[in-house]
Amino acid sequence: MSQQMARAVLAMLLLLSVTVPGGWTAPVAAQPKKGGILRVGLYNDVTSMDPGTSTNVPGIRVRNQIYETLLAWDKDINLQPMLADHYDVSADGLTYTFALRRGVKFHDGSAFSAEDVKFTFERLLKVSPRKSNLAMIEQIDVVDPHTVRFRLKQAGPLFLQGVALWFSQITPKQNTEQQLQKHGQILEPVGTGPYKVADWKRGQEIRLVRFGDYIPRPEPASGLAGQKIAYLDEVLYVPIKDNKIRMLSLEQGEVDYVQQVPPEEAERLASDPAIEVKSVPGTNWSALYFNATLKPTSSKAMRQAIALSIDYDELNKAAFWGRGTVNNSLIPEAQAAWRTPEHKVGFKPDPQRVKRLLQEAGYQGEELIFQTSNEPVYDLIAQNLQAQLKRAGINIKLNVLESAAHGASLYIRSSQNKAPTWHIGLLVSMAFRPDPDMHYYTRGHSSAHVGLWKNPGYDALVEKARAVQNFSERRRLYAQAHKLLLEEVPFIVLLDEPYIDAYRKSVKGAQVLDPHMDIFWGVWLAK
Amino acid sequence: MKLYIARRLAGLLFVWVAIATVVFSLLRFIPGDPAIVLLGSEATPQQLEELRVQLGLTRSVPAQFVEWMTHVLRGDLGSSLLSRRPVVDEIQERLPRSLELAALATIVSLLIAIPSGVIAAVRRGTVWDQGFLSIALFGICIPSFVLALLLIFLFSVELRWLPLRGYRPWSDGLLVWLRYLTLPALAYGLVQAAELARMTRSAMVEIVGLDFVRTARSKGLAERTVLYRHALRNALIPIVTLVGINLGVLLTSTVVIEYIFGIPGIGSLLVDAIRNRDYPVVQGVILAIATIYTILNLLVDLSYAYLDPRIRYG
Repeated sequence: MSQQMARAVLAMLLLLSVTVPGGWTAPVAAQPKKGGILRVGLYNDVTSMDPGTSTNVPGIRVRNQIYETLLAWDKDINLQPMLADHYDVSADGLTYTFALRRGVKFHDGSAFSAEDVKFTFERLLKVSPRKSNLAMIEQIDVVDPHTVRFRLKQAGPLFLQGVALWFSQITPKQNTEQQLQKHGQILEPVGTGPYKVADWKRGQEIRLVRFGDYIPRPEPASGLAGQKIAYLDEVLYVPIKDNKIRMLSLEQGEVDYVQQVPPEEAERLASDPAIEVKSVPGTNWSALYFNATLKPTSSKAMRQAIALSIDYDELNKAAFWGRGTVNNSLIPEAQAAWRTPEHKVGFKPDPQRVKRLLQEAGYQGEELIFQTSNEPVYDLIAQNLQAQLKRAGINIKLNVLESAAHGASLYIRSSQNKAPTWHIGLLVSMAFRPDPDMHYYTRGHSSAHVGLWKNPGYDALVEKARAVQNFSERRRLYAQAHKLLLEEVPFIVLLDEPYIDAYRKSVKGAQVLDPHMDIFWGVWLAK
Repeated sequence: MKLYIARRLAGLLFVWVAIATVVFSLLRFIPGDPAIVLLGSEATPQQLEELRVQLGLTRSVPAQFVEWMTHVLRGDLGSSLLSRRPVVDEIQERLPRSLELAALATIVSLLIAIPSGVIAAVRRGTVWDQGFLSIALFGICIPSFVLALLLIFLFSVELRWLPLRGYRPWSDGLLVWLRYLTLPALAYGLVQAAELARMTRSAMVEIVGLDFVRTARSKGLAERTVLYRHALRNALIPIVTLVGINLGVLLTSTVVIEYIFGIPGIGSLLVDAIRNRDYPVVQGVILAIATIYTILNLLVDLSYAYLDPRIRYG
């Protein structure tokens, strides 16, 4: 044996010893095990779990474990098949044919079929508060028990988004019809998800148990998509509205998992060795809207001056204890697929330019009305901005209203068809918007901007972007729209809010994602 | 007597109509739009309009009022805009829990206030009196939610004797029910006891100096009998009045305690409904509370006749 060969053999032996189990490999992560009850502290009451009529956010979170959609978002916010096995689009983009997964059962034991899909969407088009998201649907046909065809009025990328959103969760036809006849709505949720409702004591607790007949998909778990394995025997949700008490319940071990950890509590919780705090970039952002019908915010120079006098890092520290992500674009960092290098460009504080811009705008130090709410996050943001703008010589007067009244004042355009009376309106967004259209069109199009800002160039861009199907073309259009927004400043996106969950270390396999995506499959307890 | 009760109950109808009118119009005056609350920040004008039509909010306010009133007179309070369940169901589900809490809190306050008030009155000017008065003053000053947090810290966090929060119905067992309601009832009862003890003391101070008490003593009755059978009974009218009013107040002001302890009662239902501009629920809950309040008042008035036979209703 030559020396070379001897070396090769030795090398191979070494390699083997690394890979063979029982050699000097690193300890393998503990295996998931079945069983146990996961107790979850919900931040608010679940008022309704009817996918057809309810927009209640805590309810949406619970529903994710119970119901499924035809398509679902993975952790990078891309669409994947769920109840649909695959789908075909016609060349004109007007007909979508979904082949459905076979062997899927609802919690009441009935088989999932094309009739249920047709029934669900036809009901949504009648009763859903979000039916305009599905308004492009013209007709739904059952081709055979495992195939359903949607015919659209116009082609575009928004149809598939609508099919995957939380209101499009599939409900069984027969069972739902019976419930509607009895109560006028769904009071006993029946879906196809990995957990089913065992008991719902309103305001007190919701008890989910593993659905024995659930057959997980083969793909690896990711976000709401892929394989869903219910390791837990039960998921027990209890609403604990008071923030302090919710955190205390976790520390005392009365619950295992809490949502919506206020940033100011995160630090303290993290110092507890028994608790894991997961803080991830959220898909919600806070923004300042400008009123384009009132002086001086009708002037572009004034709006630019405000944008350039804010130190966004300072704001992040003051309002979110530095856990937010500075981002002046409408696409949150969490939505990586849609972000372009252009989206990373934001506003850099520039005192010299601010002075020139204020002069150009003819600003004489008059008080600008800043519309805000008395919710804690709003308070922190508003007060910090007031102080920062004061330093730049811009005076603002906070108009603090209770949350519903603030909403009415902010959205006075859409609710009463009137121009707002404020100069600057603060919005902390609380919704999951997987498609940039829901940011760019819904926020900035001249038919929708709450401060009545109008820009034909911008309108053309976002109208085109909702009409074309091609992903990279759409991405390019949104990058262009972002550049235009940085120049025109009809609003300032301040930062992405952090999304923070905390749980006891005995909870394993938790995926912390966007607020609309609580996921308790794949989670197990090491107790 | 029967005629009197009938007249009072007829008066209830007027109270209802008056309260219904005031609440209905007040709610429409405060800014806010249930459609915006329901749809949140992503709502488009079109979505808002569609939802408003669906919720019946597009008709004129007087038309909405007339429709609501005719339904109420038929015993139908409408449905929640949020949960879409009948308001009557929501109230039926939650009212008993608040009543349980209010009743327990009242029992706690009576158990503490009556003996300490009587002792303070009898030993007027002594260390006992001063001590009780100072504790009572402290009790009146401390807000119930602060006391609640202190109690939680002591009994749930440090000693771990009682659960941190939550509610369990009777059906889970009387002891379980009591374990969960003890801290909230204490938080409320202790604060109530302070006021009640002061009231008992001042009522008793007046009475123990009167001739009939001396007569009772000189008859050779035991001191306990003199105080609790003779003196206290005559001091009861202001005490009963206060307890009656407090019970009504408790029902509405349990909000904070319900919130802290996570008790799904009527107070938290009302506050959530106001925040969400869930008009039918706010209106329904306030009507229910007004009804209870009026009936409590009637019961208090009727009890006067029992406590003091000189009082007659005719």
